[in-house]
Amino acid sequence: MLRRIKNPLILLLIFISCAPPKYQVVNDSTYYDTNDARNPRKTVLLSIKQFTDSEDLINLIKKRDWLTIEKRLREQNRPALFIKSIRHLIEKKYAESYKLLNALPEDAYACQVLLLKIDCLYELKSDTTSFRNQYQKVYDCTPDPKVKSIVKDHYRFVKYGL
Amino acid sequence: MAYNIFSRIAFIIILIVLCNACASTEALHKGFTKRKTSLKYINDTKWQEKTTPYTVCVDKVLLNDGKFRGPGLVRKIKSSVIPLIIYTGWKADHDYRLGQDGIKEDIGAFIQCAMIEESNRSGIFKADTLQSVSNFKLEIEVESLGVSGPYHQEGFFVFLYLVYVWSFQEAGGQSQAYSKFHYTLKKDGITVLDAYAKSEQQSERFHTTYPSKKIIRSAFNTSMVEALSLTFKKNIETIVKDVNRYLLLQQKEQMTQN
Repeated sequence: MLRRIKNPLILLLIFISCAPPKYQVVNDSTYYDTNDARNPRKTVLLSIKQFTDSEDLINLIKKRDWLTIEKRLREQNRPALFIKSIRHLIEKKYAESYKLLNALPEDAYACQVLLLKIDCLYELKSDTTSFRNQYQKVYDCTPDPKVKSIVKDHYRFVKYGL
Repeated sequence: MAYNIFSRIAFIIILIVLCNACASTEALHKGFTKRKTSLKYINDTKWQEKTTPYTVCVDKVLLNDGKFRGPGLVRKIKSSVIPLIIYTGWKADHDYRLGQDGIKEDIGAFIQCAMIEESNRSGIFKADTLQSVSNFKLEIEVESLGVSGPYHQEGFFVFLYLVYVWSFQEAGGQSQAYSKFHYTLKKDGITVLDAYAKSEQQSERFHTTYPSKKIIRSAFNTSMVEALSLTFKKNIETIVKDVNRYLLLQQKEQMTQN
């Protein structure tokens, strides 16, 4: 019996592990090129103002080279919590990501900390909050027009139940 | 023995695929409305300071378009099946008109709430539901509203004794949404503003890159509700701007009289 289901099970595991992540990371210059309607993904902005090396970081995130990222941030003595929480989001570890985000001020990174916390609650199927009101709060909190647009997109995932 | 199992599996697959080909309009409607969608949207207007002392009572919104109260409608426009032994192909085009069944909220109550929220955000006045706190009353009637869009199904099944291949895909949209509001602002029972706000919105197109038929049908319904709610948003913003304009004039008049 086990032999019969072994191969399909392996194939299924490969399929699941190859499923594209729900998140993509962009910076100010790549923000406009990454909206693909066929493969909708939630966007996180690494603003050039806060991450001068955002392009390198994004490339490393795409390669899932988390060790290099952590090493680089540690060497430069830069805060790593936000990037670590993004790592957990990409790996679909929402509870871990929420814990890290909780340690940051909600309005940090143009209020994206609050945005990602709401995303985590949504993914964790928390029904104690009105998601629309929460996303509205982030929209009003952020001064960055790109993040405002990102907030609207994230709310659409809730609407579409994706 | 193995041959027997294989032929049974093949028969079940053929049956499933053929059932897919012959999906009734009722089954499609059920698929579209299985997951009701919320009309709620993110407000993107700027917060305004309340520069006038006025409070406007937003009355219960009336829905005059009776067509929309129903459950919605799926109509088959055209369909064709090629039922050969080794090849079965099918195509079907439907038209879906959204009804209350695909929407989470009651439309009248939603517009009233959205109107109050938008007024308190971008209005230069306060908005409330209580008549006693204000001598201004805003009445809104939904004259007409609707969303409809095409839904396409296509597929084939090739059966070559030991080998079989099949494919099916579904695509929805683009849908066209519209709504027209008639609004009147009354001061102590006398109409001081009487106008219409109308808008149109196109929805997105959905195709089979979504993981399953169930998801794409639900997403099609959501895209229609989303387009409709955006027409509401535009109309509500128009009304708030118009009321702002009137109340500003009213305030100026009062100031010159004093």
